[in-house]
Amino acid sequence: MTFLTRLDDGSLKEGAAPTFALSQRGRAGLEILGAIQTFSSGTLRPMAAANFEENPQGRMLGEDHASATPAFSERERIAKARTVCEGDAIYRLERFFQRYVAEENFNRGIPAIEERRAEFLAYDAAMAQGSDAAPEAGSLTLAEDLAIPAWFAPIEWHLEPGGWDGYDLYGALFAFGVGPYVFSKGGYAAVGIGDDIVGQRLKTIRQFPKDSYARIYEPGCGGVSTLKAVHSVFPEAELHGADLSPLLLKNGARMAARFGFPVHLKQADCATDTGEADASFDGVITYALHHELPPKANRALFAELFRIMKPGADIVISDPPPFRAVSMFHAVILDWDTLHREEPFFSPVLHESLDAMLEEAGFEAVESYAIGQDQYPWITRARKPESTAVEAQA
Amino acid sequence: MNTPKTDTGPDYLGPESVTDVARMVMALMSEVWIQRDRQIVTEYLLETQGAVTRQEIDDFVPTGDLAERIAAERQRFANLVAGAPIAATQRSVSQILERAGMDVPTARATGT
Ligand SMILES: C[S@@+](CC[C@H](N)C(=O)[O-])C[C@H]1O[C@@H](n2cnc3c(N)ncnc32)[C@H](O)[C@@H]1O
Repeated sequence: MTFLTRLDDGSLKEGAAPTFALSQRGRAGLEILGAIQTFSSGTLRPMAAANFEENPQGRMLGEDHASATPAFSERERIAKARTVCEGDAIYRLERFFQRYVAEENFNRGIPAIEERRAEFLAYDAAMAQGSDAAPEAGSLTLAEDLAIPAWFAPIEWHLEPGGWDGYDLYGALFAFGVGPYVFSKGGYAAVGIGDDIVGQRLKTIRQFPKDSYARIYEPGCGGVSTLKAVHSVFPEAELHGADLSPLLLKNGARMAARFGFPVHLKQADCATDTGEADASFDGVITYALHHELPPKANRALFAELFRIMKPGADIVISDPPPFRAVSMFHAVILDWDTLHREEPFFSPVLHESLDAMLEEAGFEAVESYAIGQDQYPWITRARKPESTAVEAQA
Repeated sequence: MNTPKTDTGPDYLGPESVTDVARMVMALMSEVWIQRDRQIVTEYLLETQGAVTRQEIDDFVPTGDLAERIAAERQRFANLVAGAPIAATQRSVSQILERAGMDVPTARATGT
């Protein structure tokens, strides 16, 4: 999933800079994708869900899925449920539209933004001049010799041609095209129909248990949409983020400067080495991150986050819900993304428990719960103990 | 390539290509919508300013009431085209009216 907000949203000062928009053709071509997605997830999907519930095999699998002592393993159950779903023409039509929209976001979107390249660059330059943050307030550290993990490099996440860094105007494409015209309608991947993806971020940040945080870190921060939400909830916090993608980080640094909140961004493989000092953060937020890492890398990531967190620091996570938390039908829907929307680690991670991984890494007070429809956003939160066992004994 | 024969001649695409045919239909649907949107924008600009250039149409971004009106029309259009397969079986008066984006009248009028 990609989540980016508009660059020119309401929090920009009135008249601060000229606006930028796609052409009529570009706009209308993306807007119709939003309408197809709305029909697909709003009308067809509930029909397919009802057909699944009415199917005797579907109902049996649903009961098994909910049972404390299921007859089938989770993987077997999902495979069988998928077969039931695929026997339904409505399900197949719904999935066709999902795939079609995911392809067309780029097939339509890339020409729509390319056609406006000159206008966008002019707009971007004007915005940079008008931004009120002092350049020294934040920082951006790129690491050209960073070893990009082998599991990451070849993936065209969400069918994005060339991956996160495949096209220099992807940031603009999301901010002015796919974001407002398609993603804002919800109804893709774990995001429910009509969900407000900006509001979901704010609601997630409010799951931090304390009233105030001095230093907050976000691994996999991408274009800083989540750090922006952190800033609005905890304006006092010093914000740090890291990502593998230099393009996203550069866009993020521009965005933060534009909105006037300082962030310190670093290119890093957070599962290996964040480059941050031991016990240096009071809070960690992750948003839509873990389903993009293999389970093994997630375990390494949690160990690294544990290291950089201060004793007593909190971690709050928002990621798609595990299969065990959703209905049998919805599990089939989520599982589909793995093969059909280029999310190779989606199912491997959803079969696991982030709660267990956090406990393994040494966290305490681990809990997880949903704060929206279809169990999304799914929150997992925990705390680093005030004193580790070894220290306690000493 | 060995092209299988059917009653109506060679089957060039083969049965698995029904998905590709659907992609072609969807591409056309988008193109038709883009034209429809352009027509609404053109009519609006003509009504409100009397004359309009191609550039103005290209650069125009609908807001407020107009944006809402276009969004409703667009959803109706998408429901009709993308929903065509279910229209074959979901054929009660209220289902037909709902797909057309219209209010469903009281039970008496629809005979349900
Ligand atoms: C779906 S995006 C979410 C971005 C951001 N958290 C947000 O809320 O907008 C996931 C991000 O995680 C980054 N990522 C994945 N694995 C990473 C790793 N090992 N180290 C750092 N960043 C990583 C990706 O490059 C991508 O930008």
